[in-house]
Amino acid sequence: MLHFQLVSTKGVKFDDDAYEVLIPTKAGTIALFEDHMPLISAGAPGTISIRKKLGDSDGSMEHFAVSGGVIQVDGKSAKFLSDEVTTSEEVNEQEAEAALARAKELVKNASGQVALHEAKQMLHHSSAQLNVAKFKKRHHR
Amino acid sequence: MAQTQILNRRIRSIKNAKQITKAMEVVAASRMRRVQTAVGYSRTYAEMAASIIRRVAPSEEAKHHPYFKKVSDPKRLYIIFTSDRGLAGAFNSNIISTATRSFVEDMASGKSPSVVVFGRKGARFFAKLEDIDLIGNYEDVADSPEANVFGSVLETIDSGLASGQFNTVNLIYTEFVSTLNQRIRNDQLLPISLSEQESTQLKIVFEFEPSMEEVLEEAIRLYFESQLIGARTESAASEYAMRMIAMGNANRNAGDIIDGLTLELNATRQAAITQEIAEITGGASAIAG
Repeated sequence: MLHFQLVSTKGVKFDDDAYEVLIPTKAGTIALFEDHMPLISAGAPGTISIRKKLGDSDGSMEHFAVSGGVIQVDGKSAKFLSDEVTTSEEVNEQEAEAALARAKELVKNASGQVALHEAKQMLHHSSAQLNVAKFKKRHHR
Repeated sequence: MAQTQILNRRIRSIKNAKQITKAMEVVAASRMRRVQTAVGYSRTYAEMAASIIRRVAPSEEAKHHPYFKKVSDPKRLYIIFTSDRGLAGAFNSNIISTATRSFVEDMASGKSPSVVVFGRKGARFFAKLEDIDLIGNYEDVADSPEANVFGSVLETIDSGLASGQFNTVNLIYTEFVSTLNQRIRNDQLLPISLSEQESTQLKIVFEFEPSMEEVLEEAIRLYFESQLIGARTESAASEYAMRMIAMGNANRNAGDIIDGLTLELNATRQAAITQEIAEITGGASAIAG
């Protein structure tokens, strides 16, 4: 088992053993299992998915939306540090959709490189939140 | 009789003030408790960000990065955290006196410091100071802010470093030790320097993806944000703690004054009664005589 910690500015959001963790990084999504090589990677905005035990179905995975960050893996444990983490309990689909629309608007009207970059980050983050919200809906069905 | 009326009026107005201080004490206490949990979170976050920085700091890329380069002739930018509101004891004056002491040291070596200030109280004070360069002030920042609040500060740091306006960044804030104890911190944020001992202990060789530069950029951003969020939440918790204590003291003082005035009121009322009785008995004995 891999000990996985997900830490945001608003506290530790996940701190438990997991069988498999899917992490969005700037080099693409990676899957972490026990005894992964020591790695430090820049995270990308997206969805973290955690499979707690071997044989758990995809439907029972736990999901978090993150806004980027840094992942540090050293074999037995992994830590993901992100300034913004949204759990599936914290989002609902309508709000996430509204946020996504706002972010799209920002990207369209962005003035300058920095603003555009910020707006794109926000766009990625809100689409990740929407994904997490949809996962939750499926889960409750 | 006129005297007792005046005393009554004074007692009433002090009772009002006492109620206000009581209310402010209770509000500050409840806010402090809420911010205290946020302080705990921000400390965990800052510790983890620092541990990641320690892993990337020994690399070649980091040694050549402007944020890590040691400077021999520091030109400083101060990021100072004060409060928006007053009535918090010595909270703001402590911060301001620490800051001005540092300014004086800098000016003695012929350099004028740059300042970014958080909080209305500090902004008012530093706007009046000459010989410093106030390059930013922020008001109404949340007690436990989101990371993106500090985006513009990071940009200010970046552009100032690039233009050579300053090469060292200090963070002045109040650390929350306990309800009764708060400490002023004047920490160096830039260049990032972590003690040698900590960085040589690590033996595991890490792989960096997608590249060292990108990891470094992200790690530095997280590190700065964690430090700034930490400073803001610690300041907020200290502010509420100090306001709670200050208002508690004010409340007790008001109680003492009311006690004193009540004694005085009773004495003057009794004096008036005694006087009246003396007049009546005097009159009666005059008629009888």
